[in-house]
Amino acid sequence: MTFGEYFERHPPWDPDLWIEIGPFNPCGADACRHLAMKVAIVGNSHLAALKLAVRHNGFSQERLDINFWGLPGPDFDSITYGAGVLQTPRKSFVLHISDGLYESLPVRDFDAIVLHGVALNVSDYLLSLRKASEHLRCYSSALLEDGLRSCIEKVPSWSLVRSLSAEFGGRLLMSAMPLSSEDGTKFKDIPVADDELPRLNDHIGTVLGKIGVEYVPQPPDTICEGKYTKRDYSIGSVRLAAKLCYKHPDDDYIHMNEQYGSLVLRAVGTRLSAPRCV
Amino acid sequence: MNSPIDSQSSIQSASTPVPVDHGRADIGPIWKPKSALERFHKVATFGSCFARHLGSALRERGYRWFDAEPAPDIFSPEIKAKYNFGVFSARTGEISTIAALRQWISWAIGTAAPADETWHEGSRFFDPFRSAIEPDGFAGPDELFASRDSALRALRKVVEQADYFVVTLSSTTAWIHSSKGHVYSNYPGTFARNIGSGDYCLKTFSLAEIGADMTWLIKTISGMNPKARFLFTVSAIPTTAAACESPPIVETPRSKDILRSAARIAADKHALADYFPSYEIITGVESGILRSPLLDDARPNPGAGFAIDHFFNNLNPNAAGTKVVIEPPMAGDSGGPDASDAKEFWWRVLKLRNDLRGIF
Repeated sequence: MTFGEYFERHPPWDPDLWIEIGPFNPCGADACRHLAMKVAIVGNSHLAALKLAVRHNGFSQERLDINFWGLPGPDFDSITYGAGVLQTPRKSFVLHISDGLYESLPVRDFDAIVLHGVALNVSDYLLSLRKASEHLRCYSSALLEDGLRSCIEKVPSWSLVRSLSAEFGGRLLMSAMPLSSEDGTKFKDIPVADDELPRLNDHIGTVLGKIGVEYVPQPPDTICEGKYTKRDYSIGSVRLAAKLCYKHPDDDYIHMNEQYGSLVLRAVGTRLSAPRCV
Repeated sequence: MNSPIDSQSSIQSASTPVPVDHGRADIGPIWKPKSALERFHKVATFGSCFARHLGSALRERGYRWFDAEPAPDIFSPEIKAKYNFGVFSARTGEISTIAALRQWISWAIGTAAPADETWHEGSRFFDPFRSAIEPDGFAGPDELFASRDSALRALRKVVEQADYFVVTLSSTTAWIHSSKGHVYSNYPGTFARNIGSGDYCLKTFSLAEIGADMTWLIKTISGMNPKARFLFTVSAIPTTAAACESPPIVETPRSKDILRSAARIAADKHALADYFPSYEIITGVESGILRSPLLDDARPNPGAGFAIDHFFNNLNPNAAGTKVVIEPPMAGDSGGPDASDAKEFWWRVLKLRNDLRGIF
């Protein structure tokens, strides 16, 4: 697309559609981009934290050429996969999220796809499991895996994950949406033991591994009380828009900031630097 | 002076023929509940056939079935069913003898130490006391015992908090450990071939033994939970060949007779106990149509449904001549106030308002 075509399609007087000038280059030099592993991070509103981390150099990984693509909220479910391409009717928005690079995402151009913040609501799983029992050890591993699979499969975006896992030849990773902030009251009066979240993450990893998806759990450094994201990571979170400047309200306990994003990207980078584990 | 027959006339006149309609029968009111069972009562169900169907029937009709070991709400209904959640009030699995129920309760309240025996098939471990609770068994003994501990905690909660215990008995025989006396849920070897020492024997419980276990059950539970009431029923499912010394065609009527006698004696002897004749309803009216096929009891069948309909039709306390009135629990007296306590409170307020309207 030429600049003229782009200008015509996305006139600059719509401030919501403004983008930073030029796509982000994590290597700092175009010359090394073709040598790096090309990664597409596809996600919903939680993508903003990661995007901001990259934009503000909170994460730098020379071996990774990171590209973002996605839609916030229920709009994410409009994304479909076919003929090697992720598509959505909301082309202009995803074009801005990808810093002007992709209206639709040709997944075959990437070495790895990371689905971030979609389908996996670990906070809800943990709460539901703990409300019904005193400890996760009360559930057999077979029950946990069957139950979690039944729950994950109900999410609309799961069909997208299944399609990608069936056809995409590269590495497919999923990182969960963050646990709610410790400022919230989601787990009021429900203590969670130290070994419960790791146990839950192990089972989620097993469920995903069976369809060839690698799971990247929430970075342990960001977690407190075994059930919440530390307050420090929820302050100053922003909405996923072309311009990452619209902050979430103070009582938003589910979106995280760029410091959180940089830790997630580091976890993704660590996973990608290791051999495929499924 | 009224004759004995006259005194029964409000239930069913002995001279009145039972009208039959399309194979089913309008058998009228045949049971007078001793205690009112209201929608706010916590009703626990254990045992087999009828108790299993009653749990879901109570929920469907807006009664308060006591689910002390619920499945996580994120799990699909198929998974909940596959892993036997929501079948009985705790995940004990089917309990066919009163001796096995006594064993479960004594483990739950700590008067006996739970057995540490496991059976295994390949790499999977099975709980000898609820062999079918997990379709593929457990990954190891630790997992098995942790899961059973959860069921025992739930059962203790039921013992302490339930208003009604509905217990359906299905057998007078069980496989037991010859020296330790543990009562098993199934024929050893049904689910797992590696069953340890093989020190097992089939025991047939006598009427006296069954009666003693029923008395223990009533006294033990009511000692911990004075508001508890008991309703015994007998399953119409035939005895299986693996659980009887005689052929099932001989053993089944003998076994059911003993169970019905024991339940009736308990109901006569204890003010807190009652007997609901589900067996008689299912088998006595149109046995060919209403009796449940042996292997088709996992879903509500016409016979069980028919008995359950009669159970609810006879529950109306006004028609039932309530002898024992159970005081509704106050909010917070059973493990802290929750949504159901609030719902119960408003139900009582509305009932009181309606009663007052009737008076004035």
